[in-house]
Parts: sequence; C-alpha cells; structure tokens
Amino acid sequence: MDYSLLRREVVSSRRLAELPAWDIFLSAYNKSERVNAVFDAVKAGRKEWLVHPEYDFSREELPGTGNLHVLQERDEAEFWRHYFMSAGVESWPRDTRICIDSTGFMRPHLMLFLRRLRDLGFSRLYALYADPKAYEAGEKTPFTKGAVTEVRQVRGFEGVHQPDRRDEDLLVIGAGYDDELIRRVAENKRAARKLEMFGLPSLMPHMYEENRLRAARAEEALGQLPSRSLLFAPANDPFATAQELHDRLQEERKASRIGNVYLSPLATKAQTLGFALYYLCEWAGGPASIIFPFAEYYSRETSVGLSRVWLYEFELDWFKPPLP
Amino acid sequence: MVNNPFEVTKAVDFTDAQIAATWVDLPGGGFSHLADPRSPMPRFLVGGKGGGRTHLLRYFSHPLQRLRHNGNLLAAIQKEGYVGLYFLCGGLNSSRFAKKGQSADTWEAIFSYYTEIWFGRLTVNFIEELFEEAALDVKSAEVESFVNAVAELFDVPVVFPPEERNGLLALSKYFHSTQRQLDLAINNAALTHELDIKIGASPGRLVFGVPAAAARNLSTFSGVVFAYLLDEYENLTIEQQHYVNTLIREKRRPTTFLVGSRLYGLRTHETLSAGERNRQGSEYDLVVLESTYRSEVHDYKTFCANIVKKRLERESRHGGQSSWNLEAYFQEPVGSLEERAALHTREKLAAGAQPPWLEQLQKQLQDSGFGTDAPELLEQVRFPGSPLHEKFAILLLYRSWADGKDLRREAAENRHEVELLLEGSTGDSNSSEKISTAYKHQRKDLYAQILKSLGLPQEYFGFDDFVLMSGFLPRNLIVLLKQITRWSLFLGEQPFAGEGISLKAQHEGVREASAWFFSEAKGLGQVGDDTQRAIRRLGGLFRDMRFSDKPVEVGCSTLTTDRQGLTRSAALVLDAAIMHSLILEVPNGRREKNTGTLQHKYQLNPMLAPLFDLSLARRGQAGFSATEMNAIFDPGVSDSALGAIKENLLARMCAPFRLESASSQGKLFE
Repeated sequence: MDYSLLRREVVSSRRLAELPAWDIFLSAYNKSERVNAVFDAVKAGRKEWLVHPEYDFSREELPGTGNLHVLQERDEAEFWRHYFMSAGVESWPRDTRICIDSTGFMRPHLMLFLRRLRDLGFSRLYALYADPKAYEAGEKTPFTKGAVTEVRQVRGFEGVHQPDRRDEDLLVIGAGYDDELIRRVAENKRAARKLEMFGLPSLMPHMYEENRLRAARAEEALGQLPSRSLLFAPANDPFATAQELHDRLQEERKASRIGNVYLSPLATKAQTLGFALYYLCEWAGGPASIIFPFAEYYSRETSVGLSRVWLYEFELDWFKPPLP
Repeated sequence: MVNNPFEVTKAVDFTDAQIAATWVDLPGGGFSHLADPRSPMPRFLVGGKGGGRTHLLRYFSHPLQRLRHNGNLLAAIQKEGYVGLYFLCGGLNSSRFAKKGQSADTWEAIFSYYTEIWFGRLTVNFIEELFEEAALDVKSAEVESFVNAVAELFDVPVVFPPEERNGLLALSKYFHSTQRQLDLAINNAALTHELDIKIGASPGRLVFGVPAAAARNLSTFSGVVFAYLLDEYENLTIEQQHYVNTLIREKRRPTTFLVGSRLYGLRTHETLSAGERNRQGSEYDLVVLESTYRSEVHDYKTFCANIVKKRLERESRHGGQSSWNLEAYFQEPVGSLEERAALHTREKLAAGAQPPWLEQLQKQLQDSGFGTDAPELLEQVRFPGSPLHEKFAILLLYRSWADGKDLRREAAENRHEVELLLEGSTGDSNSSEKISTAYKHQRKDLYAQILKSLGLPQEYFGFDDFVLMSGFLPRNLIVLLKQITRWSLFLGEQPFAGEGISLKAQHEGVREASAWFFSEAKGLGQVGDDTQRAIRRLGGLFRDMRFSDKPVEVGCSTLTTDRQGLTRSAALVLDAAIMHSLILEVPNGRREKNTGTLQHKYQLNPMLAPLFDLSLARRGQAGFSATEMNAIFDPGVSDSALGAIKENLLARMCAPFRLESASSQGKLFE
C-alpha cells in the first residue's frame, strides 16, 4: 500500500473561503473556536451539526444555525444508526460530495463513519481537521471529563482473533496527551507487546514535548517496552500515519509471527483517521481490532485559536471489500 | 548502560524462559499447597494487582512444563500428570457480547458457545502441536477415533475440509472456521442488529468433551489432567461468569480449572441455572494470595528476599554468593533518632534561633490566656541539646493541658522525668516507667514531626521498610526497587555493588513508587474517581492526626468501624477501595466490648504512606464514628462539610484542645 498517493491540502485560517464547496457538511458541535470558525466558513448545500451526548450540552447552549441533530446514543453504532435514519443517508446519491470536520467528533464515531459510508457504497469522503494554536492548559489540558468507564473494541473494527498466543499479540497506541487513556488501554491488553506512536511533527512545535511528558506518566502500565518501540507520524496527516503503521507492522510481521493486533488511536483526530484507514485497508476481517477507552464525558473546549485547516480526501474503494 | 534488575515488574512482560528463571517458591508448604493443577477441585486464585497470580498460572502452563523438562513437553506431561492450558480472558474481547440490539439471554447463550469453541480450538491446537513437536508416531486409528469423538460432541453436522487428509488438522481447521463465522456474525451485529447463529454445543460439551475424548482415544493423554488456567477473569461480565461457574459446578475429569482474578473480579458465583449458586469448599476453593502472605509474615519477607536475590543473580550482581544481607545494599541514616534530630535542627536553624515547635507553643499559650506563664513553661520544656526530648516534653505539656491540669506544676514534674530519660536512667516510680514507655512509643512520630517542622522529607529506607510498604503484593516491592535503582543509577551510584544505595535515591524512588501506586490502583468508572478522593481524604486526615499537637494514636494508618450507619455510597466506595487494594482489611477485627458488634479494621495500604507522610508501622488505630466515616467515604459529602468534621476531630488533638461541639456533627449533607 502507498498511502502517500492520497490527496491532502492545507488552508490557512485566514483563507477558509478557499475551501471547496460540498453537498453535505457534518461537524460535531463543541465550544472550540476552531470547530465553530470552520463550520461558519464552509460552503455546503447542507450543513449539519451533530451533537454528542458526551459534551453534555443543554438545549439552550446549542447553536441556532445549521441543521441540528441532538443524539442521545453514546454507542457509536447506535449514534450513526439514528443519524443515518433521521438524515436519510441511505437514499443519498452515491456520488454525493460529503465532508466531515473530524475536529469535534468522538474518535470511535469518526472511525465508524468511514466504514459505514463504504458499506453503503459511497466511494469518496472529504475530511477536515483544524489545527489549534495551543491546547488550553498545555500538557495539563484535560480532554476526557470524568472517569473512563470501559475499554472495548470500536464497533465495526472488531476483529477475528486467535486464541491467545501470548507473546505474539501487539498493541499500537497512538499516544495523545491523556495518560489515563494510555494507561487504561495498556492495562486492557497488558500481555501484548506494545508500540507507541507519537505525533511528530506535532501540530505546533511545543506540543511534541508536552505529549511525551504526559505519556511518560503511563510508563509503568506500558511495561518494559522493547527497543525500537516508538513510531512517529505527523500529528495532522492521516495518510502518513497509515503509511507508518503499514511499514512498521510489515517489519514486525517479517521479524516474528504476530498473532493478534490491537490498535488504539488516542491522539489527534487526523491520526485517528489514519488508524481507521489502515485498519480498513489491511486488517478488516483479520485478527486485529481497534480498541478505545470510553469515558462518560469530554471537555467542550480544549484548545485555543485556529491556525490552519487540513483537507483530506479518502478514496473509500481502497478499503477491503465488505465482509459477508 | 547498566541494566536495572527490576525493570520488568509484571509477569506478562516476561518470556517463558524468564518466568522459569525468576520463579521463586513460597517458603513453607510452597505454592503447590495453594494451587495444584491436578486437583479435581477448581480453584480461584484472587488478589490485588501484583500478587503473583499470573506468574503462578504461567508457571503451571505447558510452555513452562516444557522448560522444566529440558524441552521435552511429552515427558513433562507424563511426569507431572497434567497439561496446563493458559489463556487470558481478555483475549475473548468479552465486551463484544453485549447490546447490539440483542437480549442478554441471547448473548449469554452465544458467549457460552463461542467460549466452548475457543476452549476446543485451544485444546485441539495444543494436541496437534504436541504430536508434531514430539514427532510422535501416533496410530492413525487413535487419531481418527479422537476426531470422530470430538465431531460427535457437536449438535450440528461437522463437515471437515475435504482436501485435508490429516484428521487433527482438519479438526483444527473446523474449529478455526466455526470461530471465524461466529466472530463475523457477532461483530457485524453492531451494524445490522442481526445475529443468526445456530448454537452447536451446549455449555460444557466441548470443554469437558474434548479432553475426555483425548484421554479415551489418544494413549498419550491417558490419565493426564487438562488444567485450564484462566487468567484476568475480571474481564468477564457477570453473565459471562455464570457460564464459567456452570463449568465449575459440573466439573468432570479429566478437566479442571485454575482461575486467576483480581479481588474485584469475582462478580458472582451463580450459574446459568437460575438460583443455583456455587459454594466455597463444595464446588470450588478460593485462595486470596495476600491473606496467605499476611498469615505468615516471616515467610513473606523471606519470599520477597528470594525474589530479589533471583533478580540480582540474573543480572550477575550477586552470583555465587551464598550468604547475603539485603539490608546492606541500602544506606541507613547515621546515628540514633535523637542524634539525627539534633543534627537536622542544628543544620536547619540559624544559630540562636528558637525551634519552630517552641515558637508554636509560645503562640498557643499566649493565644489561650497562658501568656504570663508562657516564659516559665517554655523554659521547662526547653532541651536545646536534644530536640527529640524537647518535643517529648512539649507533648507531655500538651497532654496535661488537654486534661485541664495545672500546667506549671505538671511542666516542672515532667521536666524532671525527661531529664532522667536524657541521663539514661529511669526513676523508680510508676510514673517514671510510664513516661519512659511513652517516650519509646512516641519517639518515631516525634522525630517525624521534627522533620516536618524543619521542612525535611520523611524517612523511608531499608529493605525491611520496602517489604512492609509492599502491602503483601510482591509487585509493589519490585516497583519500589525499580524506582530506587533508577534513581541510584541516575545519581551515579553503583546499586547492589558499591557502597549501598543512597538515602536520596531511596527517598526519591519511594516517592515515585507511592505516587504510581495511587494512580495505578484507580478503578474504572465514577466509583474509581470517588475512591481516589476518599483515599485522599483519609490519608490527609491520618496525616493531620500524626502531626497534631497531641496525637491520640501512634503511627496511625488504620481505622476501625462497625460499618453501622454507613450510607450506601460510603459503603460502596469503602468496598471499592478494599477491592483495589487501596485499603487492606486486617483480618480478625475485634468485637466491641459493650455491644458485641464486630469492629472491622482497615489499613491504608502502606504503599500510600509516603504520599501522606505516614508511618509504615501499623500500631495505632483510629475509631471513626459513622458520621466521620461518611464524611470520608461518601462522595456526596462536600469538602466543606468534611472540613467541619475534621476540625472537630482534630480539636481534641490540637491546642487549646476544645471539646468538639455536638451541634456540628451530623450535618454532612446540605
């Protein structure tokens, strides 16, 4: 696979008007400036706000513009089931130009959206990711609000696993700022050999260091990391992320037999999309799953400002064909 | 780069060879007394994180059996009489078996069938690999009858791939493809809400049937016990544990089970048959590893020492030495407590300056109407040559103050007694003896108070302290030693080889290990957050008590309660803290003299002692009322309400020793 062939471009925050127009534009509402500025600037036939219950907004706090879908379902499969039904997605022409701003979406939901569109026969999806200028409280920024309630496989990314071949399981963690999430995932697959992926280059120069500082707190849960246990991929590039995963896991598979693979994207939404892309292209139906630590609530505002917007074009027919 | 022998802290991070190399048996009866993989009685091995369950279960598994017999697994099985099939329940990804538009009953049935297939596949794969590895010339008739016997266990027709001539391989492929079909159906149900699965075997059919067929048809397995070693049982939900409990209830030779679980992981003993509940001693045995360690403290220390010795030997720091003294690897402070107190005071105070404890006493006396007596009282308690004796004299004065006695007279009498102590002689009177005993009991806490007043860290050092800190979880000891060794290496020392690990490295390592334990022991969900908050409250309260003017207990890190009057939330949080080993239940709590009610005794895990500047010794215990317990453990109680309760509690321990006001009690919930 050569994911570098997929198209991406970047637009500065002052030139959002240069973004192309779409038929449908979806964004998950939260209080971040970067989410709202992009929603206001985008040109689309229909602009839809989706509201995650994890942000815990009351009706009065929600925006008055755009079509509003207030969803109660925390389970990502149920979330999309309800949205798809209420928006009539199944009846959309398959060449509809759909764009999703990944910035405010819950990660599991974002990943499943890719798969659901492919399952329905859509061949293309545009995704945006808005870089912040900084996170609100540097490396201390709380992203999850409240406790992690469970670690489980993401719907649509559940694999066909082999009875435990202990030494051969591999867990790749896309390490974000939240050490609690890293710890929970590592604990959940504590027998797996672990690799950590960091965003480098990070969204802003200082963020890599902040990221490493936070992730170091989960060190004991990660156990003894083997040599060369770190991976690096740009924090705002899903395709480079997928490529890095592809290259590294191919190397790992050459070096030793790998039984089960677990992927856990806990960093930026752009990297999350890269994990999903890699999984759907190479592991669907295989002994691999994407796992995620689910929390009850998430912070509505974690970042300051908007520096630039990335546009990614996903060619959904790259994915492995739908399983029976 | 020098290796840290304690870098690996979890058994799951060890290879099979490392598990074998670091294996240490329990002194006394050994682990085989606790868990025998040949025993027909299924057994649960439960305990906190790091108690040694995984190490023990893996030790019984077939890769380790092979290593114990020079690579000859067949000989191992025949000699040891069992084969250990280890697997992690986490591998089942059990959260898939829920919701997705299906009823709980449907999932219970599907999980049972799926796990039957999983067990079956594990067993058949093992048999196939063993035959291949041992290059056994097994009679084809034996294999054929085994394969047929397994096929007959299914309630659905079993069709083998026609191209596969090897019967065992065909059977293995059948299990593989059945599991794959189940996986796809289960996974897709999230998206389709459809689940069309035909259950091909009832609970137990394959789990008991496959080993029985092997023992009956394959001569290699005649008389061999198949021990399923299930680890991480806490990953299964209540409904999924119903299935395992059903297997345990219906146990059938040659299958047996050893199940490893965290304390909180044993969710139920009920079976799939409604109302049927397994009983300990009848259907299963249960071993709590920490309780075993605790019941033989001396053996536990030896066990810990042996674990450390093994690690050091592996890193060749200690090879070949027959007698060894772990204490010698850790530097100790020089001098007695009295000498150290004097030294610290000299170093931290400017020449001629009054120690902070005397400053405080002076202010308290002046603020409480004893201003005119203050100079004389201060003179009576002043022992500039021995700050520890000075602190003791002040404590005696506080006690007299709290009892409402004549301070001037008491101070003069006490001074005489303390002077005798200083001279090393005790008077003949009862009171002299009492004072001498009190000093012995209090000197460590008084020394701790001096350190705090001077802005110095509390002291935790030496192997014995680290064993105490581990709270009967050997992994805690390993983490402590890992952090200490890291610091020692960072400071340019030669740990376990040079002059001993410095106090600085020990202090920093202990601090980090303690902070790690606090975050590591956090449970999932809101109750995890609530428990952390309760522990902060309890630890903070114990700290305030320890550093109060007149602590009522020595080295207090234990509480007693009859649990009566606890709110539901408080009881839930207290139990969660116990289940996650943040609090240790001390066995054999005592009955209250007057009412006969059972007083439960709970100790804050000693791993947390450094986080709250507490003593490692479990000596004193605080009896908390229901109101106080609720203030600590009920998440609904605000910090301000807790503050009021705490103020009342500490008023008895801090000058001017006001009695608590009854009116402020009982208003926890606003």
